[in-house]
Amino acid sequence: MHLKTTGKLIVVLIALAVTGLAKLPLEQRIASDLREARLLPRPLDLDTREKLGQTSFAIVLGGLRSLVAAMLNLKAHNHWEKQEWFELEKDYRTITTLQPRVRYYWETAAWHLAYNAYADYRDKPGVPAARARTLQRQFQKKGIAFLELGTENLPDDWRMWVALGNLLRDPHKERDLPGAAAAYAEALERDGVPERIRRLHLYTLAVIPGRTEDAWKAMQDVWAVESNRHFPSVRSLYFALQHARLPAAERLPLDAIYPDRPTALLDLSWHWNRRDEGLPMNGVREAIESLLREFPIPEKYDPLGAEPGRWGGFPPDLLQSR
Amino acid sequence: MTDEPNRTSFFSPARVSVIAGSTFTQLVRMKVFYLLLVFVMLAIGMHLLPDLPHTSGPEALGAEKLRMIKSTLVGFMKLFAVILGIVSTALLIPRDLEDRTLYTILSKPVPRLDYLVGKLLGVLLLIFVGLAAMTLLLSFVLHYQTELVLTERITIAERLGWDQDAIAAERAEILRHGVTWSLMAGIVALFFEAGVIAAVALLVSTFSSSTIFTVVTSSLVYFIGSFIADGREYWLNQSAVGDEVLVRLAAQVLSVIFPDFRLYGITDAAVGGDTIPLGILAKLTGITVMYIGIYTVLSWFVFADKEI
Repeated sequence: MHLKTTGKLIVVLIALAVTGLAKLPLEQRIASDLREARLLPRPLDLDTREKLGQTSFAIVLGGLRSLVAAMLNLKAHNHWEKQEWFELEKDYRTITTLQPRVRYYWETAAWHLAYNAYADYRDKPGVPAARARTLQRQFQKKGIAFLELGTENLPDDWRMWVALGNLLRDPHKERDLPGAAAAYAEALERDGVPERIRRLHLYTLAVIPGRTEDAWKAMQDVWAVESNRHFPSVRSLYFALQHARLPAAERLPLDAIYPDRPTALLDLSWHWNRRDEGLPMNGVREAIESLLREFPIPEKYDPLGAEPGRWGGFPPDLLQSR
Repeated sequence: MTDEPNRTSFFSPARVSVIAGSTFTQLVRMKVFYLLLVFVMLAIGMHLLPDLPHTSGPEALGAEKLRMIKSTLVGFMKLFAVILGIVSTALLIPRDLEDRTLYTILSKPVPRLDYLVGKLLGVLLLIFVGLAAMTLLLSFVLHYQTELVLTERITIAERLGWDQDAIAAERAEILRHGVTWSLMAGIVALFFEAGVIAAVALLVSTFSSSTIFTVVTSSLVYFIGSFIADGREYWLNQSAVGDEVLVRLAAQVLSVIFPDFRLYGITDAAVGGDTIPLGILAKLTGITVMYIGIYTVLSWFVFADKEI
């Protein structure tokens, strides 16, 4: 009886091996399809296995990666509340390894590191200023690195590229405007991207020194969409960029850009107020001077006399009453 | 009356369905569906789950709440299906032997193949009914939460002055994490996975009369099958020298023998909001039928002339 069972076991093993050889190509084909569709879970490296611990690793092996990632996200939340940024970073490294196709985790990791940790080190008690500054830069880079990895894992998701662009152009941090413009340009290549990203791309290009030609090209795409022309920034940029790029005869007149002349004065004045941001100002001063001759205003409201960023606007109804 | 002896057909769907039905009843009497109460409580708990106190930050926050609900409830469904697939199948033959039902059945003109297939189908029916009930509840909770999250996020977006296409993108993003066909495909994959592991347990139980042995062995097969394909690919990509040749060979042999459970990882992808193409589900159906077929035929081979 014992021999009979052993014999059958051997036959079963041989049969499993033979049928296994037959099923192997099919398994590999399905795995390849899944990999192509980015649905195949990535194998865990030793580092992640160690961080997970035995129990979580067993759960992950059982195919419950999403559950473990969700739980680790709650754990990371506790680290956030205690401002334990290095532990939080480790958690998100594990979480994003477990769920690389979930944008939320990449975004949240970057948000915590590049915004929350960055802000925390601005005035963290007991940390010398120089050290705090180094840590701020370090965490900003960590945040950027998370988003860059996110774009590698979700290359078709325009939101991932936009998140990277937004971080790189954040005015409160060291900016990488060419990098931000490149990220927005990538986003624009994807399906379903909203029109505001086209405008963001334009605004970013417009403030990069030496990229006026690229900004003008981007402006053609933005201007081609009627709804974009309602935005004051778009109108004023169009005005300045066409002065930078086109001969006078080919430029659109002021009345073709703005709905009326008081609006032109208002929008151009706000644009002039932002001259320390690096925006093109070609022809803006002259246009404001000309419009001010049409609409004389008290000197205290003169946009040309105010310091950049200090102009307070016109009082309500000032232009309409004239 | 005729002189011709009664002949039993090799395989009878009618007999199989009777055995499957009685197996289902037998398992239901084991109070398996009490687990559904746990699921209901979990679902209610997830419904009451507070938001993470983000004040600003990632725009995908609304979707995260939905993903949390999905990952917990689908995670429970997976545990239910896989554990039930292993344990209930492991219990069947020993229990039938113990209460002598097996002798009663096999003393009648019932081929052993019918018996095995009927038992397996009974387990699969039990898992299917359990998963169907849970899917209904999951869909209800998820749909309700999706509507709440949608209303909340769209209100915020409108208050922030987002343009229409941005609001439409936000709506599409949230709906992607609600009740979708891809989520249903993920649950179907989960059922397939439970079916394969139940068939493995059936094969092991034809060798062993010990329930514990069957449960432990089948669980090991499940875990090994979940990562062995990764091991095989790793070793195939390495240049093998010395001892590594043996390791590589071992990985190859194991990956040939064990089913590749990694393929059923699409459930996790569906929970993450990915789209599952119909073609992939069709291929998964094909390989699942193949796995179950192989293990059932081998179970029959072992059980066909087993002395009981």
